Amino acid sequence: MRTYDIAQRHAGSWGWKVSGYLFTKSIAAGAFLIPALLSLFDEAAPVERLFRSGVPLALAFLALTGVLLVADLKRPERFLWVLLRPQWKSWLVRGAYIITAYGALLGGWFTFGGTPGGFFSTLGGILAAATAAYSGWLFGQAKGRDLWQSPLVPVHLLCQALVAGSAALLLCAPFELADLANVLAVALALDALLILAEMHGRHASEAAARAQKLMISGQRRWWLYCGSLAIGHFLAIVLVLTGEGPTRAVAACFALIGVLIYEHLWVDAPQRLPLA
Amino acid sequence: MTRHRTPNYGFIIDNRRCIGCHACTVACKTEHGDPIGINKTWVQYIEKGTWPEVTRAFHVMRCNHCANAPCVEICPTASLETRADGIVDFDPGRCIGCKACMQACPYDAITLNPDSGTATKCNYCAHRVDVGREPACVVVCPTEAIITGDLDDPQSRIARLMATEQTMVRRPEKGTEPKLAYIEGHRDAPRTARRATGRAHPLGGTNDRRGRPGGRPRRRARLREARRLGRGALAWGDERRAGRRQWRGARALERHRQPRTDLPLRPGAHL
Amino acid sequence: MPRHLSKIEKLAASLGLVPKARDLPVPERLGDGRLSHYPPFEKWENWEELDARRLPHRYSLIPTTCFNCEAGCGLLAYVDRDSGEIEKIEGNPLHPGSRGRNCAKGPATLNQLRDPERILTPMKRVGPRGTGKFEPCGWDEALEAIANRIRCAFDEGRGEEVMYHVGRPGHEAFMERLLSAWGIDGHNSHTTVCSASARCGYQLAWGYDRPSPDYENAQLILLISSHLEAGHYFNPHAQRIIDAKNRGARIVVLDPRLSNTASRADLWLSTRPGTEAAVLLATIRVLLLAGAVDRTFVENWVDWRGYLQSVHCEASPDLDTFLRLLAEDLAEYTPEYAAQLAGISPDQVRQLAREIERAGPRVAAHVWRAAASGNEGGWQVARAMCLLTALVGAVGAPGGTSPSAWNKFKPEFWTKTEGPKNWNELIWPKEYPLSFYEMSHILPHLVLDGRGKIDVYFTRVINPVWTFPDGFTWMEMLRDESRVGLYVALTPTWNETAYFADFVLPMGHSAERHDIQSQETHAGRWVSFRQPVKRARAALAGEEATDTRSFNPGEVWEEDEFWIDLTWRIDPDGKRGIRRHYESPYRPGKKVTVDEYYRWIFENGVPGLPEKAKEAGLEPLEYMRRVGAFELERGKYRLHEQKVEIPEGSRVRVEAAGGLVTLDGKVVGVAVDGAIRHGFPTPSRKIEVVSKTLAEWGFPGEALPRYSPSHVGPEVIDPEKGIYTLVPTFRLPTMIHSRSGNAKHLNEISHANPVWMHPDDADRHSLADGDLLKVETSIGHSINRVRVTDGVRPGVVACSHHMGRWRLEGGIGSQWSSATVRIEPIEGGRMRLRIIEPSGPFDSADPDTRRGWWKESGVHQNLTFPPQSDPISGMHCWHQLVRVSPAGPGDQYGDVVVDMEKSREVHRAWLAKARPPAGDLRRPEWLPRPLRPQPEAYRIDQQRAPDSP
Ligand SMILES: Nc1nc2c(c(=O)[nH]1)N[C@H]1C(S)=C(S)[C@@H](COP(=O)(O)OP(=O)(O)OC[C@H]3O[C@@H](n4cnc5c(=O)[nH]c(N)nc54)[C@H](O)[C@@H]3O)O[C@H]1N2
Ligand SMILES: Nc1nc2c(c(=O)[nH]1)N[C@H]1C(S)=C(S)[C@@H](COP(=O)(O)OP(=O)(O)OC[C@H]3O[C@@H](n4cnc5c(=O)[nH]c(N)nc54)[C@H](O)[C@@H]3O)O[C@H]1N2
Ligand code: SF4
Ligand code: SF4
Ligand code: SF4
Ligand code: SF4
Ligand code: SF4
Ligand SMILES: [Mo]
Repeated sequence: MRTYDIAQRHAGSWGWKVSGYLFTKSIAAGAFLIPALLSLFDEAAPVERLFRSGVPLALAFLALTGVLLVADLKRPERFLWVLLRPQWKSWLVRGAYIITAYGALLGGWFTFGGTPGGFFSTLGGILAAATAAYSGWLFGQAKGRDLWQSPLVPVHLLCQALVAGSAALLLCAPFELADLANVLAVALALDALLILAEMHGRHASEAAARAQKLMISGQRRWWLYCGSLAIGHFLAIVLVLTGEGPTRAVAACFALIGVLIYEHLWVDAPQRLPLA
Repeated sequence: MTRHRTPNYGFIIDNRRCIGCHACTVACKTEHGDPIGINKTWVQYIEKGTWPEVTRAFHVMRCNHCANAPCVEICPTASLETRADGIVDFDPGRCIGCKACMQACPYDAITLNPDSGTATKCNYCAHRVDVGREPACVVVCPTEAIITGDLDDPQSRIARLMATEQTMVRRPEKGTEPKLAYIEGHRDAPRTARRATGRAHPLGGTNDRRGRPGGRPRRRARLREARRLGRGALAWGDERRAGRRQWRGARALERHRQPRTDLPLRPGAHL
Repeated sequence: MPRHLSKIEKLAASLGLVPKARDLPVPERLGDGRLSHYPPFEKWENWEELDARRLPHRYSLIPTTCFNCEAGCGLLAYVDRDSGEIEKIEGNPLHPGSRGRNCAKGPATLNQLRDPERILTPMKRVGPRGTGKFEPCGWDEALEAIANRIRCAFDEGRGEEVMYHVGRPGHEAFMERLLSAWGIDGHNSHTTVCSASARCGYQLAWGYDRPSPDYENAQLILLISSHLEAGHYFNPHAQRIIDAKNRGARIVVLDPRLSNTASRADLWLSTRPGTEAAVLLATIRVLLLAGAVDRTFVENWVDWRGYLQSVHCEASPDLDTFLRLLAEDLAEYTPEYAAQLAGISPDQVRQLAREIERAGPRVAAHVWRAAASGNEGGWQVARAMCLLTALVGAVGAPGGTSPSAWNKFKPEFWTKTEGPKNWNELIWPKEYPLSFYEMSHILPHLVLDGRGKIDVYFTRVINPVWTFPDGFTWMEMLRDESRVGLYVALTPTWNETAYFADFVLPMGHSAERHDIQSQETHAGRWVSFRQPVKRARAALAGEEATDTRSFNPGEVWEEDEFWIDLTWRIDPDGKRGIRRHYESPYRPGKKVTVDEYYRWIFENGVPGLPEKAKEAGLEPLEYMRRVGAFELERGKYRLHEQKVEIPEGSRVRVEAAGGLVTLDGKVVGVAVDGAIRHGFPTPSRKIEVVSKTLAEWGFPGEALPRYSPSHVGPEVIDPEKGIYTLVPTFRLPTMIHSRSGNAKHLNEISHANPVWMHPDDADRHSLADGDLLKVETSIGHSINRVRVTDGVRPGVVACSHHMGRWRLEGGIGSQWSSATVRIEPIEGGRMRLRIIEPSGPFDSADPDTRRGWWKESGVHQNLTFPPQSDPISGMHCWHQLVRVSPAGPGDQYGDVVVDMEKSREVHRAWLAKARPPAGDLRRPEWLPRPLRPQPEAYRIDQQRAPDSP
């Protein structure tokens, strides 16, 4: 009844920049997290080489992440205030400090180099994991969006970081490590499960259920099922396990696209529900 | 006498009195010089039921000044803050425009000011309160449907109402502990979906003269009604989790609902 | 309040990396920590508070009166003592009617003051009339041109060719006095498009033309109106109705549409338009049969003897017989019959009766427009309503319904004016001897029929091209310079009629001009002072203030000073005997100033005010400047029982039957239980069930209360064939006719007027919510969107008139609410109005004008309505019989197509139903007339009538 009352009109105030930031952040985190993890199992040499392509990759995407974050602010010139006028309960602030720390470590590693499995690689691994996961708690603080309230979100983001990280590494350092392919496959499988759980698990609240319905209805359905799940996950898994060199690269691309699509849908959908 | 205890401000919106006139909206915009498109408070009309058992509900929506405010928690620069007197205020001078608060507020009470690129919302007219005056919307309201005051002062009209009347808050299941309570908040009007039979109402127009019913099954009509119900549900609370009764359950308000014996219980006695 | 800062921030701040947290001065706090609505009166002169940006301001709080509707609520303007500007507007807590509160249109006054498209200088037409092109001109040029023309008309004895046409004046007695000083019968008004019908019904019953319900103390509030969103008087009445409701009073509303008011009612009767009289009469009958009437009141104050004489002359003249026979005469009005007509259930009728019985005399009932204004014979609804309140003894009782005049103040002046000697037949045509009042809506038809011409035509607060029916015919009249010589529009903002003016003269809004107003908002009598607040502030500060123009934006003036000045120019040397009425009562022979004008009224014309002012240690004028309003009295009831003082030694005659008391030939009162009392101003001095006047003036059939079928009643509609009753008369709480167009905050809330339609009906024409539909009347059609809703009864469609403003292609005018339109003739000799550019967004000093996010700004449906004049009340019967269908391929939103020939035919057809007087009187002398001419003007033979056919 627009003529007779005015409702708030600002749905989607977090748009592609935010989903983009989740994506670049996943890569940034994954690109270090993967080698850091592998350094616990594999022999040092190949992991060492993996770090060599992983660290710059992580740095680049972390920078991109920062750019997107600032660009999304309506008062970008004030972005430093997040660090300098902090309100500690906010995961935006905590996240900002985590990212900064992670960035510092990457910078250090890039200039002075580091030893796989050593103190810094473990610390870096932890920071990378935190960088990937903290958004889970940030979105959790967004009480207005029930879909984001699920406790699984941090885990899910971590998993997405593994996918994105391994996929990205597969692309720029394909022949370094056999395990990379398996890691990607496992991560993808896990991610697929998590997505299915998110979409079809019984949801805590009506609003969450509606957002969920939104994601699996209309146009979005195709993006989610065909785009993200079918191609981005299952096809990617098949290709990465069966295929060789170029096929794997394709699989990696699919995986990345799959993650991107899902993250965008997941950020967008709940904002479309009218709350008043 | 000046009181030493800092007050604990809240709102009651008394839907037995509200006539949906929008004066609060206009007074608010005038007081704050807000641009077109920004409404710190707005009045929602929702028609419920089917003719002639139909009514129109007016919902005056605005910031609830939550005792446990997620917007404050998520705000990275403390641009939003809960004042000692319970008002959730904001300082555009600190806002970086990250829009996190707009995601955090379960009531869609925050908007972004296109001029300043900073968030804005009802701040209980803190600048008036600080000189001892009622908010603009309260002063203008023709029917005194908006009641402000100190929830902790048992003598205040708001506390007395809280003690004597049935109130409800929006989406208590969110645990935000809103301090805006509604009397007859979600008016229990007939929430029936339209009959799909296509038989017109016995008193209706389709059988005006020849007395024979007309019309085809009304699918559109049914959808429309369903949509309205949804809107209500999201705005008011999640029946799947917090059942109807629970609407009164917000703790922030429960505190003030010890039955008082010194008060006449006749509805409207406070007037 | 100081906020807690993190260590990092403190550090960063000290390093100058981030701004230091600002601490702003906080003025001292009012009171004891509890919040107060308004600053204490003592501090109004110099009040300090923070604005929303927490910057301190020093204000002077100056009261004035809102002019966005007739309620005359108090406003309090916050004039910044440093900038001198009006920073905000709130309510005036000392105003007895509005008690400090307002509706949305109160604070929106600020939008109107700051409207970037206001008219700032007098404007003179360039190019042919009605092309909407103007250029600025000086006040003197305009005044001279107008004065010369009027002077010459007066000197040639063409006085009645000067016409002043006003809408809702809020300008107590000023113009009546002016025109009778000028000696011309030139007052035209808006009442026949507004409330003629209800006025007629009430007048015939109890001799007053409107009710003043005492909602505050009522037990039952019976509304055929929408007082919780509109009505006379919205905000003051809504406050009291809601208070009463919370106290346990019940509300009953008759309305085919779910108004906001109906949605708050305890009982909503969704009646078919035009059947309300039947419902009320059925209710009366139920009450009579149940013996639930106030016998003493009826015995004393209802003219039952008159009834028995004229209807049952043989019956024995006693009360019981009357009650019995009245019930018998209403025999056909059973609940079943009424309910079947009205499309409600018989139980609802009985329930209404029960509610009334329960409330006893505490029945506050009101009808003003609604059923009365919509339907032919609608005045019967008002009369039935009045009789209903009379039978239960609610008339004049606490919590009941009093006549308006008891609660309305009328000013007096230092000179007496006799009133015009002539009778203007363009305004009071012979055919409508009983009209209430001026037959303004058929003016263009009378002029086109050659019944007369207008030499100088003033419009003020009226926009007939837009708010009246049949706007195209108005345009035709206004375009023709041989029919309308000089047209002068007095208005603060552009309107559709002003586009056709020769001079457009900018007048101040409510906070920019002088005026007094009094309305019957409750059981009390008050007068409210409207004033240019900046000028008032200067005056209070002891500054010299003589001309309101020096305080208003641009060259915006005010009516009072304009008319006084014009009068002096018309009669410079006083030879015409006009000037003397506008000479100062304090400085003989000098031109009266507005200050002196109101000073005299407040010192001599308002009982009790001088004393009250003295208490406050102020002169009456200064008191009103500071306080803004004064309540003369409160809680006066049953004034009809007041005794009449008979001068010593004079002999009165008391007529045996009715008890009429005459003093040398003049009726002075009525004898009721042992005293001579004022009674009611009807011929019998009592409330009349049967109207002899109607019988004598050609309508014996209507003399008795009855249900007379409406021109759009259930008998004639046929939804199956797409034929519906269109209800084009309902209001939004946020809008006021064509006045609120320039208030941005109101526009943002309400900016379109879709056609309400019941889902059953919508489905029948496969119309979905928001679809374009075509609404055909007898003279044309308009294209609008449908709003499918359960809020309107089946068989009825409804459309508010508030939106659909327009400006001419290439012409001047407001863009906020007005679409740019092209008006052109199309095939079949028809005219079409088509939107060529929707309203806003546009560039201006106010950035908001770029932010209008709505695309469609409504449809001007009034153009498609022919004049439909009720033969008795003269009311334009608003409701239309329409054919509704989905819009065709060529149709565009906002299209209006009209065949003006048809509208001439329809006018003639309705005119033919009217009955000119048989005798030699033009109008029953006991019926009121604004600006009453001298008695001889009433005689038909008396007058050389250049303007009659
Ligand atoms: N907000 C606002 N207030 C206003 C005004 C305004 O423009 N805006 N205008 C002022 C003026 S000038 C006037 S005259 C008054 C008029 O105020 P009211 O006397 O209330 O008249 P309306 O608003 O025309 O109609 C009142 C109700 O009557 C219903 N109605 C229409 N036709 C019929 C019918 O045939 N039968 C029945 N039972 N009901 C019917 C309408 O749906 C509407 O809800 O309002 C004044 N107050
Ligand atoms: N379809 C439909 N049409 C209706 C009605 C309806 O219910 N339905 N209602 C009818 C009724 S009840 C009435 S009373 C009429 C009212 O009809 P109008 O009196 O013609 O309408 P308004 O918009 O009140 O005033 C007309 C113009 O006055 C000017 N104005 C505004 N404020 C001021 C001021 O302060 N000073 C001066 N000098 N001028 C000012 C503005 O230019 C405005 O356009 O409309 C009637 N028209
Ligand atoms: S001003 Fe009062 S009555 Fe009007 S809408 Fe707001 S709360 Fe309701
Ligand atoms: S209502 Fe929204 S904005 Fe207001 S305090 Fe609660 S969460 Fe914050
Ligand atoms: S937008 Fe402004 S107020 Fe809202 S969270 Fe971000 S910084 Fe805080
Ligand atoms: S309290 Fe002030 S800010 Fe809040 S809605 Fe009312 S007027 Fe607006
Ligand atoms: S009711 Fe509203 S518009 Fe009318 S005078 Fe009062 S405040 Fe002004
Ligand atoms: Mo009116």
